[in-house]
Amino acid sequence: MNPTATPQKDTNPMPTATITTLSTPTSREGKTKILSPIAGQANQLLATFKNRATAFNAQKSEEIAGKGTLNANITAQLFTYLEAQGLATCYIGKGAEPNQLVYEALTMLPIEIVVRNIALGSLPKRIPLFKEGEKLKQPIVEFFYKSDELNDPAMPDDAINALGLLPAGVTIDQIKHIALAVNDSFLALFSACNIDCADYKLEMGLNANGQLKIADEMSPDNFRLRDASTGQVLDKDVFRLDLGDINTAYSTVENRLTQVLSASPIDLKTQAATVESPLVTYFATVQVQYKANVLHPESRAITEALQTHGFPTVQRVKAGKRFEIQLQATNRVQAEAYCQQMCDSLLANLVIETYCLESLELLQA
Amino acid sequence: MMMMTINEKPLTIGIARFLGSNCDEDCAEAVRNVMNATAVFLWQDEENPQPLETLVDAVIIPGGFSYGDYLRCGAMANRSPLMGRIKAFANNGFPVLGICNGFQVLTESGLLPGALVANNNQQFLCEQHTQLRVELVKAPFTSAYQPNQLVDFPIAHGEGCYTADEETLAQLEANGQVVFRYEAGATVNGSANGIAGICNEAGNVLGLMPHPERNWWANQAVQRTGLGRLVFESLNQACLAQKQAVAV
Repeated sequence: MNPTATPQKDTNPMPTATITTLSTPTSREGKTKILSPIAGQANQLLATFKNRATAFNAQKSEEIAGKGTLNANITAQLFTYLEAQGLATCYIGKGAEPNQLVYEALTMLPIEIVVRNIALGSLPKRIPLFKEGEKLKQPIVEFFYKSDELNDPAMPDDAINALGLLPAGVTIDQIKHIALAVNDSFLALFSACNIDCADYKLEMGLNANGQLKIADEMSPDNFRLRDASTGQVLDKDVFRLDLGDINTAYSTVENRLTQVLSASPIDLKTQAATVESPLVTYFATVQVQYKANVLHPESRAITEALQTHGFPTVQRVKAGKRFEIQLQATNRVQAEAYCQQMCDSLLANLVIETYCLESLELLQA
Repeated sequence: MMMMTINEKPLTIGIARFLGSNCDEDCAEAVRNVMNATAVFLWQDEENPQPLETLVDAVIIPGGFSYGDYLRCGAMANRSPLMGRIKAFANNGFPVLGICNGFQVLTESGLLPGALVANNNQQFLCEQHTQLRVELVKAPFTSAYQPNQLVDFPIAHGEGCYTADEETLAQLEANGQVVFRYEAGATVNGSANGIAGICNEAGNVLGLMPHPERNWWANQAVQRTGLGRLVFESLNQACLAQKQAVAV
């Protein structure tokens, strides 16, 4: 089952069975984009957005003038916004034509990441406990293996690890962490646009330095977006379900984004929130431990106590401190930065201790 | 300008007072008796825009359990308004002496390198006559000692194990910043290189775990040598010289 039905497949230019390198010298054409090499720029790709709309595994297909440019513009807006929120993307800049963007070439992960905030599409069909259109108590992150032949099967976390689908150094936790950070940012942005961001698909890849970045396309082709007041459909469901003119719907999204994003100019360097994001509450847990080379008598005493009190197989105990912090921030990246600053300046003494941010959860209002 | 003498304008020594400081009065006693100086207490929360150097000639951060040793010894005191003023005072080259918890505050503040962690013998150490060697004889804190003089100061600490990375230790030794060393070495509490007290590179900030202020007067009945007195005599000389240099 495809999570948001066909859009995932449509926007996936390559039927991938394994980790795919985009930096191959030949062009690759998918249903809605062409990725081609750029002469003299080995690490870059030119993404040309096509005017074609397809649905139901391309059984329904139509040429719609202007759609490529709309999708390129919205993708550029959203990637730029994510970058301003401190999230790394493949986006480098606009191309020569209005329907072209320049991307950093990445080694793509073979999975699609679907983030859901409202139960639509395949979710209520697969799990009827969710009512169609129900706002979810917490976001759901799902993974799907990119394969047209297999019809993009859903992948539980353990299956991804058991199949060894992720490159060395990339973990499910890391991917989920980025996906949830993206989601916090999108919820703030679309809410300012009076749009419900029901669900969307993300793809990620590694750049030449091994940095995990958000990639592919960020257009209504792979989002489900609804007007928050009227419920009007503003995504590819318009085309899929014959609900009207696709360009009208996509233009509405582009115009509202332009309005909100231009109201507070994006400053890529400061990582400042680009919209008047409301403060939301996070719950963080931070673990502080003595460095391995610092002798910690308390840990040694506990070890010995356990060994002499019925647990002779205990080899080593390391006691540490755990802080539970409830704090407010405009987004996950900012909350994370606050926690780091707290550790650096007070919670840990870096001469003798190390720290890690164990978890960071959005508390529902 | 006239040269000032101690009689015309006695020295004023500021003694930091945090919630939980408990050697503040002992330090004041030593200051009054050995230095014939005025002791003023500096309250942790006082935000006085006037630089400390206009108020005092030196600062002593006394022993105790500032802020109940919450989080880490010295960590909370380091965030107090007073420490902000003391850091500026130290960075302007004026003498700052941290004893016991004061040493912990100084490492937390970054004015001195390294850190003090729990004694490796899992005990709170409380001894009257811990032997130390004075390894650096220099103003403002130890000029009155003989090179390599052996002294005995009381110790009373649970977290006195000095630790620092190899590079820092090598630098401390190479620069001659180890001022006091336990004669029994690391066996006392696990301190790296047997370090009991160090100064910063400039020499105007000294931190030590043992208590010279508890041994400023000799008393044969209890085998007290009074050798801690020389720390305060050294400081007195240095502060007078400092005052004269300003006045001339």
